[in-house]
Amino acid sequence: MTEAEICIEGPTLFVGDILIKNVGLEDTRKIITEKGVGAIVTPKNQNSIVTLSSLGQRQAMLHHVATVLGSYLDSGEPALVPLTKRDMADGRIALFFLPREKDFHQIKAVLDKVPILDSAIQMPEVADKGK
Amino acid sequence: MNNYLLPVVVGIVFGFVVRTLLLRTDFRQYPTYPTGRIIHLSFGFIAAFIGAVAIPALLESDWTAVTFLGLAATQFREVRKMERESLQNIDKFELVERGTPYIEGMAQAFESRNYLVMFTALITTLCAVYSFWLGIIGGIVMLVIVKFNMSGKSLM
Repeated sequence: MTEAEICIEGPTLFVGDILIKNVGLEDTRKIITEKGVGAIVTPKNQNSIVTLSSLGQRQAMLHHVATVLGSYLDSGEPALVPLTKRDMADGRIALFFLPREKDFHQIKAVLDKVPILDSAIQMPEVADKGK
Repeated sequence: MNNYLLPVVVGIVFGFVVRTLLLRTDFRQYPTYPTGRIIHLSFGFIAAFIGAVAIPALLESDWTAVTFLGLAATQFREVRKMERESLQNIDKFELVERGTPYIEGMAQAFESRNYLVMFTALITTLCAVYSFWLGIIGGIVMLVIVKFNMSGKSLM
């Protein structure tokens, strides 16, 4: 897991090299550059690529971070809702969120403790693929 | 029935201790304190009771009791439904949602823990029927197994 820079190129928001979304309003862009944090979770093997791709697992990560570190968010603020995006080529997951403190040491400690959902675990490595 | 009193009590105590150990209200504050915890502790107590009286009922060849206990044990699937429903209702009002798969996992954990309690009480009583101290040892062994082998993995 690594910290990634949040960068906004024109209207597009990137975490590291992974595209997150379009941000239209100038004000929102300012808030995001000020308060937003990006993290990239890199899967260790074939199994974890599939496990991490689960939308439920990704939502669980966001929820976990939000409960522990808080979030700069209110209802009716769709632009600030935390998001995860997947690099479809290598399965890395980019997380975008706005915690109350931008301390990556804490964020990493919290993310490390996210439970892996039973329903997300997939083990394609043990399957017979005719290899 | 009187000579079964001690084994049953030992079984219930160990089952209840297991439920207490597995019930942890951490920063997530779920199950909620105190009401949610009371719900689960009482469920755990009932589960421990069912597990504990099963072996004496079997030894007495009281098949009606055994059948009814089996029936009662199936009622614990309601725990899962209950947890799922209440978590889903809460989830709609979270700023950052938990997500249905997370909820499903939690609900499963709550259900399976009741079965663990039942199983612990069953094994403990089975051992305690032979000798009181064997029961205590069996209970402690189950306690260790349940506490240290039943935790999930985390992202790392």
